[in-house]
Amino acid sequence: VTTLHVSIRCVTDSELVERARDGDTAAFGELVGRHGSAVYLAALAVLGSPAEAEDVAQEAHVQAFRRLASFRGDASFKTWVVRIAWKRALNRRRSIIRHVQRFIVSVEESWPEPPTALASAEHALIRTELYRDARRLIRSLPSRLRDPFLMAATEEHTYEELAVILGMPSGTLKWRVSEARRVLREKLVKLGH
Amino acid sequence: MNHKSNEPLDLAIKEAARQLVSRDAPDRLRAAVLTEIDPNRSRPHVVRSGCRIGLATSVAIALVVVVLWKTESPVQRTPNTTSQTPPVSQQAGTDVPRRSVETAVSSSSTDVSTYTASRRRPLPFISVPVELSTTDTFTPLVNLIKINDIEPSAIALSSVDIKPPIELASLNVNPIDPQP
Repeated sequence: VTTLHVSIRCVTDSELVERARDGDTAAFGELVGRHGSAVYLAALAVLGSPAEAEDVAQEAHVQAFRRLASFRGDASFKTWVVRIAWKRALNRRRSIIRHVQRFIVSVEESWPEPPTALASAEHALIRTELYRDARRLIRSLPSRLRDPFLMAATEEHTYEELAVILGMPSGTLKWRVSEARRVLREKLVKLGH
Repeated sequence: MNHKSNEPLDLAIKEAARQLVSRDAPDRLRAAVLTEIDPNRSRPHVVRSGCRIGLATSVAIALVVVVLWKTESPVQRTPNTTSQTPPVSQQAGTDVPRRSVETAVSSSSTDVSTYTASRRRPLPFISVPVELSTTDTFTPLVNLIKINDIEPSAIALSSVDIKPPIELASLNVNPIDPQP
């Protein structure tokens, strides 16, 4: 088992893609294992719902497998499949029903707070409120700012890869991420943080 | 991507964004994708689970449909004053044919009525074919009729005339709509 594991890890994405094109589904499964997280997070950044992101991630992988013949290798397989997921997630978000549901079902989930050495009750309370407001403000950003900002927050891609995935110039992408931070900072200050 | 800042707000913004998009992909994602794309992998799995679910679902749906059908569909009853079957007193202790569509009920009086139900609706019992043909159930029903001096046809026609309702419930008698 160990030998097999090592040998698979030594195979590049391009080789796995070639094997998958020949019908080797196990090779494609390895690709899913390598890049499934990035695909899932891209969908999560767009949709905000883990369940819907999982659906989109699965659909995107299946679509990628069926369209492997059209993969030319201009970009990496990871960028290619994440872009597929990105587009599918955008399409799903555009659905009117889902759009409405996003507003109707608004549940503030519990989030693990980062560890801190100064764990006074007052400090923890202030920090909790700050993070909660930050999450709420991020969600309320316009999608043209929120999407690039959250995709950058996944730390799965370089700006160049993100530019390909999101289909926009790298300079525009960087500006939007920076603008999102600026808007969030201003709003947090207005809230008294 | 390595935006680093010591500003508390920038740190909070960065951390909040990471909280929103830092969840791990489900472990089942890979298996789900392979199930979709690999016919050899998906076929036996889908067929097996499909059979199990399909059978259970079919049985459940069939039961629901039967229950609804028997409780909702109109009863076809034809009161008949002509007795063509032996009185109940003679039937007690004998086997009533299962799925009997015609059951004769006789009270203690001389009046003999024949209660005829359609094959689909041999009620007034919840589990009709079995309980109607079971002497254990049939006999106390007749006793109830005798005790309360109820016209046999009243059971079929209206549950209002049957008293007390507690005894009625204990006999699994299912009240039915009065026949116009």
